[in-house]
Amino acid sequence: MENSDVVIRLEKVSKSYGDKQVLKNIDLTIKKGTIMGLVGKNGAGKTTMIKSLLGLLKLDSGKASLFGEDSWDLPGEVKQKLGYVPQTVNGFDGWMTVDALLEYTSVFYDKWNKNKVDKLLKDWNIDPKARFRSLSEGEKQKVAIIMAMGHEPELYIFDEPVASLDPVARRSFIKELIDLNIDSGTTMLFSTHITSDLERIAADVALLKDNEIKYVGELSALKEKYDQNMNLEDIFIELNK
Amino acid sequence: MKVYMQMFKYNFKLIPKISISLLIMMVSVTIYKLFFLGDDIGLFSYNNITIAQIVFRLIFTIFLIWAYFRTFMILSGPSVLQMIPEIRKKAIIFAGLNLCLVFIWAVYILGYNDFQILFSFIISSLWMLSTMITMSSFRVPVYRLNKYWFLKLIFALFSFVAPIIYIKGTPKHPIMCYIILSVFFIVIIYQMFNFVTNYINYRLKDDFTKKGFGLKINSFQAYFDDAIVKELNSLIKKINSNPKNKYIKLFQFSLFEPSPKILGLIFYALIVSALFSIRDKFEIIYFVSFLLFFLLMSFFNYSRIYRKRNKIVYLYLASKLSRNKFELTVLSTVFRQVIFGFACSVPIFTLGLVIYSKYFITAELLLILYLVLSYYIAELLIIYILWAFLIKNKDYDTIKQSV
Repeated sequence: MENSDVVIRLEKVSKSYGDKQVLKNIDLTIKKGTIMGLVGKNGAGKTTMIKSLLGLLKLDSGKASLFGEDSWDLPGEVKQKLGYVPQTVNGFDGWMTVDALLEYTSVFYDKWNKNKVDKLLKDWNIDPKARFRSLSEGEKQKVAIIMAMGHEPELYIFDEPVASLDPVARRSFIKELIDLNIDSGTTMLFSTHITSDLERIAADVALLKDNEIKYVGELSALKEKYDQNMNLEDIFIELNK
Repeated sequence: MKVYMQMFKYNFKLIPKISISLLIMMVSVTIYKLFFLGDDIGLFSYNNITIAQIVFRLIFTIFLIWAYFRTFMILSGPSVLQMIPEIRKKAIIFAGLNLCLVFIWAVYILGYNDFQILFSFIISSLWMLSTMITMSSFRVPVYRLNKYWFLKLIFALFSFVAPIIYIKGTPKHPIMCYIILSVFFIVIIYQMFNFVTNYINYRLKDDFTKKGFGLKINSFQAYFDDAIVKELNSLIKKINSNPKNKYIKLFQFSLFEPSPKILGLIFYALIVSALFSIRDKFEIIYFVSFLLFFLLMSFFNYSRIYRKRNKIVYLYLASKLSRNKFELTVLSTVFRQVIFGFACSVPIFTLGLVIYSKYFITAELLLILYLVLSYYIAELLIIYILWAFLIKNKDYDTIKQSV
């Protein structure tokens, strides 16, 4: 029986690229309103896990679902509830201005909060008339985040979204996420290397190591397992020894 | 010599697929010349033309354009430009050696005894090289002072006219044409000399996209970019007022690089004016070769469209379509583009037929119609097969991203 509170579910998920196994029997359940941080070394399988969840990769075995629907064939209604920010922001035409790109994206969705989009552009100092090709990596990342937020999804999936952001933008972005979570109970899966950000935002954490989830649960419980004075980065290093 | 060999190896490994393709093209044309044409007959000088000859002429031309372009892409890449002048000097000598080798090989393939063809080859090669120098001079100036950008513009226009003067004007006014072409030749040599000097002494702090010629080109680019943004805005307005076929229209705009309508109209006008200049009967064998060539281009073009991984992922996640419907919509979008192209070509084709009807009998006209229809059916088949191999029920994330 599917629990309606469950937004993300991975059951015994395995995925290999040729001989290289990237995910091995991954089990993960994320309930509505949770902010889950996903941590792991480079190549641990974070991006593969996210892409499997989005139905961009076929699983070797196991089952991935979003809002109770099989990830491989997500119904349109489920995709409308989803906001995804990829690790690298490519694929948009350089001639597009930021406002044209946002306008183009808005046509895909049933609802679009233009006021919010304009506010974020202003807060993050993005010139709406700037062409995509002229933006820095950080600015492109900000635009991708705004694109994912415009239709006010119920679930956000971020694949290292803050890697190219400056500290001010990072803090502002995290504040935005916390507000969203408090105001609308939005669910978030957040993969990052910057563990200090996770400590600010995530209540729960999943640690990926050797293609398996080594820990999943509350961040405070993880800290209790170790020395209370240790931060997540220390724990992460300790776990990866 | 060791340094140049290392450069050659590095160069080869940099873009291995292109390097191997170039090598295969070079070897196949050489084998054809050696074993099928012989020493006395050049690739372009034989009158009783065969399909094989047309195919190898095409391969030869593509090879040359590719080889020249590649040399300048390597030279204008920031990785070489950021190096010390000594390295850049070696890089430019290496590029020169490369081009010389290509040039000697091309002369062998064309035959030593046909002066007319060799002259055409030299003029068109120089034109191509100098156009590429002008293109890469966004970073490295061709003239010592960048304020002479207008000379580049005049040169670019003149380079376009020079081959036409040579072909059309030489028989009527030989002395005048040879004087004009000699001036063109001297200007090219002068530009190349300046390019080499400025390339070696290049300073990274000079940003030529923000002043002079570079700035002019940028504002020209901005004009076209604005025109496309306007087209996008009008498309969005249309979709908002009538959402029928919304996804096909959105996908079409994203997957096919849009260009301002004015460019399409200019292109159309050029083809129509070219059709009016028809004076002789066109051999059916050329027509078949052109169709085959365009079919090959279609294959590469549509495979490139389906391999726009980032866009496919974006469109899939943003659209309110199930996987199956999404994939079918991508296919419909590409079909629609072909049918649109076909509809646009009908008036041109009809005009061509009317002009050609002077030379053709009804049976030949029917043959042409049959060939054109076969071409479009083959194109639709190619699109379907590529879609089945690249998109249908595939991992979008593992699609090999096209450039």
